[in-house]
Amino acid sequence: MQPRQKILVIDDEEVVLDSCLAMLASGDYETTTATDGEEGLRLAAEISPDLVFVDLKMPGLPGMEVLERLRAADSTSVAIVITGYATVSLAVEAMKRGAFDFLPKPFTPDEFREMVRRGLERRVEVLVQARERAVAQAAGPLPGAAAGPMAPIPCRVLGRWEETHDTVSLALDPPPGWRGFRPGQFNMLYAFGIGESAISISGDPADESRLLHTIRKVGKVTESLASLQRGDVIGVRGPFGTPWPLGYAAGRDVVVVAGGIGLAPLRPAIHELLANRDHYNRVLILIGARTSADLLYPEEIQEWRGRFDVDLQVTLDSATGGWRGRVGVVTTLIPRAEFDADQAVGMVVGPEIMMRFAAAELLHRGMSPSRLFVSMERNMKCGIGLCGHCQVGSKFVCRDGAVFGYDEAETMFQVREV
Amino acid sequence: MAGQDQNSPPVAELLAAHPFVVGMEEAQVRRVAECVSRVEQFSTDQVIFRSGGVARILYLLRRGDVALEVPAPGSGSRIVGTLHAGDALGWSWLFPPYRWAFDARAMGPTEALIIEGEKLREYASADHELGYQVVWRVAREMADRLQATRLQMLDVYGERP
Repeated sequence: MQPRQKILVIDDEEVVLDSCLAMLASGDYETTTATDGEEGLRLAAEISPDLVFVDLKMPGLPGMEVLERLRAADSTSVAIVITGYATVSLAVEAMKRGAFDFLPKPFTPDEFREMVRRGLERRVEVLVQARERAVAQAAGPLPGAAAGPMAPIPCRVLGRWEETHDTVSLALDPPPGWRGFRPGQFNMLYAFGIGESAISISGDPADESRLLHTIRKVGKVTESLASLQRGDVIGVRGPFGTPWPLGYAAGRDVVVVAGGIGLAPLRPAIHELLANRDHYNRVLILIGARTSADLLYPEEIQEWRGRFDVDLQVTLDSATGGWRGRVGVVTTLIPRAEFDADQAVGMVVGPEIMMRFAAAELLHRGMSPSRLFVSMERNMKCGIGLCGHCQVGSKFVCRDGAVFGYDEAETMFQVREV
Repeated sequence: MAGQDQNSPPVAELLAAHPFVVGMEEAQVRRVAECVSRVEQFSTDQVIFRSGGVARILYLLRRGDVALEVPAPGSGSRIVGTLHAGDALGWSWLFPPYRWAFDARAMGPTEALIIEGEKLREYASADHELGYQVVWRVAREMADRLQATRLQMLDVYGERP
């Protein structure tokens, strides 16, 4: 039997606490209340609540500080602020300090219960991500740890091949001490004398003999990386970042949406999904590319498409008369894709515009934002959350991502530049 | 070769199962069914209509895939979009000058309910409730395709090198 989920409500108004208790009475929760911040923090430390409601304006310890201390004590805590002073700036400030959402007073029972539902879903997601991150870190500690996390380890290029006119894959000899990676993680690849770039690991996580990266030539560093040849030496730091929530997705429908180069960071997840196919319910792989010549991994796509237990669809932006598949952006595949939106997990990668529209379609189908995950890549320079180049609000894309739940990513999408 | 499958269920049944009429009242579906002249099958690569031709028909696709194409000298044709089972093909029959804007070609064995556009226009003019239902569906189709086209124009998979 599952333990009851614990909810803590911190508010100085007894009437608010009483009404919250009444509204939660019909649910199977263990609800605790506190009338000030100090008592709330003490109770939080004692009971480890799954969800905390914090009033922003209380005598004594201010709600904002309570939020920060909750977050500092437990990075997986999920807090929702409630206040009668609902302003956008307050909401933004609360989010920056780690609040998951914002509930303005007065609120209806339905609004409160919906917030509880979303908050508890978020808690599950956060715990799963924390667990998967711990597994990823255990699987692959920094190979350069002895020399410091910024020291790249030399690796030899075992092979190089063109995927498309602007994209190349490199197979690397795994560095000494390499203990594998989790799908969704990335390495910092260093072209000696030129610079570093964050590149997703794009190979099969079960293949320990080589480390694959697919690189799109978009600048000086990636062009230099893509021009390496067999036998050349490259610097590698990693693996970094959060993995795809493949454990959380077990037993559910999984909808993978890849646009353009976005298939590269998803390919390890697809490999793992297919290798453990019986762990998942329906598996849908929706792939979009500009033209057939821009389609990554066409032979593997054919292989995946040939499986009876995968629904794989490819669509192109533009095609000539010889193309027998679909034409249109990848988002057009979502409305009629067959999956159970009530329980499905979505994993989306592509340029941000594509991810936003794909997410909108998945949410329109009824998928919860807490079960929708995207991978963001923004200005990652150090890979370990030190340099701040990829900081968005309170998050570092390299350290806290690159895989994010859409609840978090949606806010980050609003930040135009970092 | 085009033709009607003699073993198909009555067209009214086929129509009632098509997403285009989902949400319409029964009487409205019956009126639309009066405009269905036949079920037509198209073989792979068969041209369903050509750009510039007179648009008289709304095709409700039951099976198969259809490419909307623009002839491109030197490279045959460019596909601008594809439609699939459950989609409604063609809205040029609804608006003057009633001419198709693109070529439509069956990408594989395809089957469609053929709805006589002129008759449906007449019914829609006489019964504005029905007219609203029809135009709303066409508008939704147009909105979906407009959004998809905008995304295609944005080249969402990244800049060209």
